Amino acid sequence: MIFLFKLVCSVVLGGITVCLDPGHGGTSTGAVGEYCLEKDVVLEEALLLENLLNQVPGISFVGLTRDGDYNVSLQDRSGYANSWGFDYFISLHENAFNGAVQGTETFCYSLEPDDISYQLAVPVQSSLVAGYGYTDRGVKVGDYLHVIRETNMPAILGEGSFLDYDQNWNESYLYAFNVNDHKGIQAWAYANGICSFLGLSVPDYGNGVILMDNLSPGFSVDDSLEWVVEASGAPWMMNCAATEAEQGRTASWVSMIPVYGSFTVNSWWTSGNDRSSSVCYRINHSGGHTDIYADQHGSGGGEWVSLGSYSFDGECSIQILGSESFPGVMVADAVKLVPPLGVEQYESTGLSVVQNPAASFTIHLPSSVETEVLFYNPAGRRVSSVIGTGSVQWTPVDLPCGVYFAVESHRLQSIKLVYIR
Amino acid sequence: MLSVFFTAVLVAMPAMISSGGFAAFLSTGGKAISVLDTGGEIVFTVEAQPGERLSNSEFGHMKVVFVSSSLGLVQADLLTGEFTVISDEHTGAPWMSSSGDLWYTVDGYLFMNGASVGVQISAFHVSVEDGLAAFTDRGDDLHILSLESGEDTVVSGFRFYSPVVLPGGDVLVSSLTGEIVYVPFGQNSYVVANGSQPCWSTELSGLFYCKSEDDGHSITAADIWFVRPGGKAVQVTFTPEVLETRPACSCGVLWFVDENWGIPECVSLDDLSF
Repeated sequence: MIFLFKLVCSVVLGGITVCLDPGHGGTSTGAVGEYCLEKDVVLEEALLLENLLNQVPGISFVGLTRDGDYNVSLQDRSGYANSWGFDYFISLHENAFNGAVQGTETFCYSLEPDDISYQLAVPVQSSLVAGYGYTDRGVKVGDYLHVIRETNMPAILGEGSFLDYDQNWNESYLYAFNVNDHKGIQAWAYANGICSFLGLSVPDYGNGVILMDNLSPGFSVDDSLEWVVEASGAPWMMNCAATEAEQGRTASWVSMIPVYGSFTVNSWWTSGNDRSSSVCYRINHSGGHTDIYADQHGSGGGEWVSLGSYSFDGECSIQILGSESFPGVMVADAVKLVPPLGVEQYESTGLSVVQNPAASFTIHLPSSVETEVLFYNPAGRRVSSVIGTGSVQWTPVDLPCGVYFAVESHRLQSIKLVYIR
Repeated sequence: MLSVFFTAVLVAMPAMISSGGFAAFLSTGGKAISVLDTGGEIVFTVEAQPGERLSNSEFGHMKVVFVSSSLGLVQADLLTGEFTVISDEHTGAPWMSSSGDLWYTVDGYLFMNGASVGVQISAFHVSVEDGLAAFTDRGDDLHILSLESGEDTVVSGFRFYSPVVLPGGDVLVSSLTGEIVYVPFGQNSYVVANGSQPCWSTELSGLFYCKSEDDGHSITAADIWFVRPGGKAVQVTFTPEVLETRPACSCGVLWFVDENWGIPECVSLDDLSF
């Protein structure tokens, strides 16, 4: 019985297939943070992870149990995964307890060394811990979790961090404002762990903006008794670290940069008449270090100020150094690293953005000449365009949630946007 | 086609197998497949070897077919105890039609009883009955393909998965958002129930399905319901302490699994009060 026709399909089997499972959704919010909900965080992370894994040669299909904000039952999640016969199942969650606990943990079916889910969980957990630097709560048995138990393929469930943590910093704030590319780092950490397990090349980190506040985990000062937390304007956590500009006074931001490359370093401070007129920013980059002096005295400040472009290879360290030569108060509020074409989500829409459909994107442009940025939906249809210099602002109007692509009109660079409301 | 005998298999006296409502159950973690009789006795067991995972079991005509992570597609004959490796390539889930034909995909091509039928279908799960093949594509649209004419009917609107062609050509399909959609042959589709894990009962001309609640990690409530297309849904199980899931019908018997303990149980359709 041979039939000669052929059904045309856009896909073929072969290669490794991965099912991503963003937990909760719809009326199931999951963990509740002060600024955001677990269901929104893990969806965005899953979409970012999908994009990363789709770039990996050897991975042929990345499926999602949920690609929007809607309810999916546990039975439908496992049923969908089994129906497609995925090779691996990755469930993304964030944790919550009492607001005082922070750490990372990954669940698998059993801790037996020959259990494939355990073999997958170990490098993923290691990568997640490296990404955030939080307490390693370990790989744990999760055979009571439906999606781990009822899926036919090796399955793991990651709890990247405790969303409700609100002690030394507010974890939900880091997610809601994507401080230090918090969501991008977790997505990349998953991709790194999965690819390490599979023996595949790890995808590029992407084009995320890295933003560090004075309450970010990577921030430190030389002597906490000499620095005070001073109220400052929105948006960067409403405060900054301040001290008298003396020799030896130092504040540092340190962050992992999973991708090598050139970034524009920007700093944000609040100025005032008591401020030092020459505060040294030391940028430690791959070529050594460069000192840039900023005038925090007077009426300036309250905006991002470029400190120049530098190459970083794996880690960036930016310091503020005190000096008696320019007396006054020096403040450390926030710094951000912007890749050649970077995107900030929700920058201008305030704290309510997580529930606010008026989310907007700020696209940073690689040059100061006037540039047109074109916006496309996943089907390749152009939905909008904006012209700007230095950066452009884009607010999706009457567009559904989902993935969009911003393309510089010269078609030299593009970036993926995930619009969630 | 290579015939082998598993060394790690437990064959529980296949001579005891008689006719009736047997059912095959895959254990959690893919460690074993057990065939039970209506008395709850295990009459046949396939156990995975260390590092091996069993999945996608299909049962019918006294045969169990399943995917082994190390061997590929394997068929076990309950009457003879013989195991046969049907395909060791990139094989999709097996599907046994009501006539006993075994269908599956290998590297994107549809096979029947070990031979390609020359149709390319890039799906893992394919259901075939009465010359129709139902499957979903990567956009989660449902395809109902006539193997004779090549006519492909596409149904969209939900994120479909696990379609089943019923004898006569109607199609039953689940969606990720909980709709169970019924596609009468040659007619428009409609939502027949809200739930998951639908199972068609030929005897009752309707479907059993599971309605559940969960907290995002575990199922907290589950019961079996029944509905005939176009009819009113009725609840079949009412025990809150038992999480009845995975309904399966066989010869006058309704099987289900208690999600809490993974234990299969069955009741006679005659004993159901609807």
